[in-house]
Amino acid sequence: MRHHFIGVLAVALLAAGCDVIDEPDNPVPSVGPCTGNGSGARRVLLEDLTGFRCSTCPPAAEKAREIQSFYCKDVIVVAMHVTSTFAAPLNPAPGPFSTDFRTPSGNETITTAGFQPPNLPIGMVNRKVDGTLGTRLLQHGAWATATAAVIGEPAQFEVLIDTIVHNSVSNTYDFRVRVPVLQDVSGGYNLTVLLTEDHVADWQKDARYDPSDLFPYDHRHVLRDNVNGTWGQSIIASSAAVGDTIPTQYSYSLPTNVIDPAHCAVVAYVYRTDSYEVMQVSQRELGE
Amino acid sequence: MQASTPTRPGTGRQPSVRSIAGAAALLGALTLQAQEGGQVHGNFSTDGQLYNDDEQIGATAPPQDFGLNAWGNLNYSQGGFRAGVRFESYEPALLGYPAGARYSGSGIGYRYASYTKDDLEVTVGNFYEQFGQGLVFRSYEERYLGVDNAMDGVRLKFSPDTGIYLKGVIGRQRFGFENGFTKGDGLVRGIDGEVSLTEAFPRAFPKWVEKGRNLTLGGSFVSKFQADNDPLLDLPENVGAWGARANYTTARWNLYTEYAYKINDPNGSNGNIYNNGQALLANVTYSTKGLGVSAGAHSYDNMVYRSDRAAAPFDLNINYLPTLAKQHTYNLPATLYPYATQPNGEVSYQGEVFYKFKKGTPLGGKYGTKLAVNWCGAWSLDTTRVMNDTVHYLGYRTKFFRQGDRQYFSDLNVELRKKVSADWELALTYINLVYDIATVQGKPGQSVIYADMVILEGLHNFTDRNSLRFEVQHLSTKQDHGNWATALAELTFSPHWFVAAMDQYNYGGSVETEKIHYPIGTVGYIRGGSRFSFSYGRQRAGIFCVGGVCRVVPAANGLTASITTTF
Repeated sequence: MRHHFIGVLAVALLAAGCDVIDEPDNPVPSVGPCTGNGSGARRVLLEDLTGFRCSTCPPAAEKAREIQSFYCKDVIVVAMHVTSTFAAPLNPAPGPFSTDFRTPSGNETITTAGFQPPNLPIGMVNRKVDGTLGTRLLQHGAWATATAAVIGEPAQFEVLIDTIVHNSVSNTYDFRVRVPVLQDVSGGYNLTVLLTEDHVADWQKDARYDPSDLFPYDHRHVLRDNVNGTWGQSIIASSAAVGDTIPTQYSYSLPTNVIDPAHCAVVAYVYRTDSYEVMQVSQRELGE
Repeated sequence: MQASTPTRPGTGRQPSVRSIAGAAALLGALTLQAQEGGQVHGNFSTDGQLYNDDEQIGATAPPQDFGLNAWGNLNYSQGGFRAGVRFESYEPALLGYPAGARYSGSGIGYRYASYTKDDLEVTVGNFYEQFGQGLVFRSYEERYLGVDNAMDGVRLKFSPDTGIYLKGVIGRQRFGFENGFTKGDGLVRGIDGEVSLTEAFPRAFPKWVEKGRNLTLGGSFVSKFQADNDPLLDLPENVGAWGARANYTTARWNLYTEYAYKINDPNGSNGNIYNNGQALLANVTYSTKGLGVSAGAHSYDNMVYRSDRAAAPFDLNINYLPTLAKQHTYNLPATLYPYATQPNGEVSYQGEVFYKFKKGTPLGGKYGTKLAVNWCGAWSLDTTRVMNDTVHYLGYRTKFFRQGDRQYFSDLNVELRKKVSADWELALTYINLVYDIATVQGKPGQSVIYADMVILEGLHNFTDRNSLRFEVQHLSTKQDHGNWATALAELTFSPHWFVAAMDQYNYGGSVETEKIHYPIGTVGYIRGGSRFSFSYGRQRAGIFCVGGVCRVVPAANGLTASITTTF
């Protein structure tokens, strides 16, 4: 009887244990639901922790682009260059790998408990802690699944970035961020506003190529600065009701590391202060 | 199985005192009679470190200024019944620990109950298990590495007849620790069978029985399940792997080979390609009095096999790919440039000869002389990228076991060990190393390291109880951080006390700031099954490896206390 049980178990395991996929039906990203879910649905902040000396990071950046292509404006990517090992300059300017893409807010983020990357590349999807893995820092193979799990959910907030006006006298960019409350919420919430720059041409190591030092590499959505600090500012201390709108106003001078203001965008997101989970995010280009 | 003597950067080689304590911990457990027929036994160990900032070596103290890892095991057995629990505490974990997912807080890290009756063993809860050498399944713990992929589920072991062994496992793997162990997403299921021919069929092999020969044949099948929730990829939810092995033994020969095959398993480590994976290893050893010879070879192709396809390199590994590289125990070769297995693709070879020159011969002298020569080399797999493959997503093509052009590693080492008098023993070691640090340590752009090392070790017994052991090590290279020198002295006052001092000096750096001393002093006390040690000094940043699995150890400065005890 016991022999039969083990035999049946073995046959069942062999029969059920393999899904051979000869021709994967992988959807082409460009045919995804590119219209977006519109207002009222959650969008995703995908933060790619990377470094230009990290030779295994370009595939993660490509994965971020694939996800963004699939979900279009519902996914906002920020590339945060971090760690001295992978993001510190190797040479004095203007030599190869002489640019320091790191930012004070990025440095502060990765030294905060719960945000310390065990390796690069790694990333965060809405800074949400994965229920199984117990971490918000996800390998890039998990980004698409994590994105699919939250995108399009009913949103608690909308984040509206009004037209960004360049004041040529003060050389500042003036804009307003409004946060309409779409559901009754309790707990503390912060609003973080940051600046990214797209299409920055610089060096990048990529282990898939020989030689592995690539130039010019198209760095996408590079975090340049946090407008209102690493952790933003409090907008809800304890609770808010449907219909409330929290307005904030900024007059901001671009940091010196910006190369082309036309490629810059403001990203604003609301997160719960107890869990750091990003509840809603928006982006607006400076010239938009 | 690989040797697993842990040597941590900055602590130096401490075999004599460590091994005494380790042996005491493992073998000298004093058992207590708990109740009628039952026994309770256990052990406890802790490592705590008080950190200082040290700008020169890049050491930064954590906000708590202190780290502590502690483990306590409690086991109960009565007849065929066994049960146990391990309490773990990371308040917070030592810097750089563990290798993979974060450990924090205190709680239960392992618990199990097991019962054996009529050749059937049933285990529920946590367990460690291995099929063959682990090419398709190995659940194990390497504590000082911070690797623990214990299963949590059910295991059955059954021997239906003499020499026939069957195993079945199902469960999920330990992932991290947050006031208790956390588990990965994927489900792991496996079966294994093994037949020892001369045990099972002695009448069919009478000459083998007579001459002490045996052939053991084994086979395994393992499958993992993880749901496909990825909107961009059509992923296999059930990924199977099978393995077959054979082990032929005689009084002097041991021939072992194992082959494994894995179906399409797109994951974060292989770039989500749909290639199959396969692995083959073969080892042969010959030993007779005074002579030992071994040779080995293996090829690994796309053999990352994890229960979560998005897991990081150290997490949720289902299988284990052993290295052929010698695991050095001397500080410089063990922690600066150790080799780590490349699971995505590697071809490796190894050979070793050990010979003991007899006493009274010209080379043997009065006490005999031991000579060991070892070589290991590892290369990339010869692959060709498949471009623009939007049908099969294979990633690359390769011919199995075909060596590529890129050399990852080579280690030629010669050790001469001789007792020169009644109270002096010396060992001289030479190591020639080629090390592709860009691949092995993930430091792209850094040039291949060519290093030579010379190590002199001496042991002088002043009396039967007091001895001095010393090491002088030198590493010369023009790459990376340049030359290193290390000196270690260790005084032992048996049976209780030992004192050690070590300094590592990186004097070959290209800039003045890299010429740094790493001094550290240790004092220890051993009594019965308990061992106490305290160290103060600098710990160099380095790599700590066990069996081809390596983790980064950050630079540190401070006071370290370690306590181990058994009961």
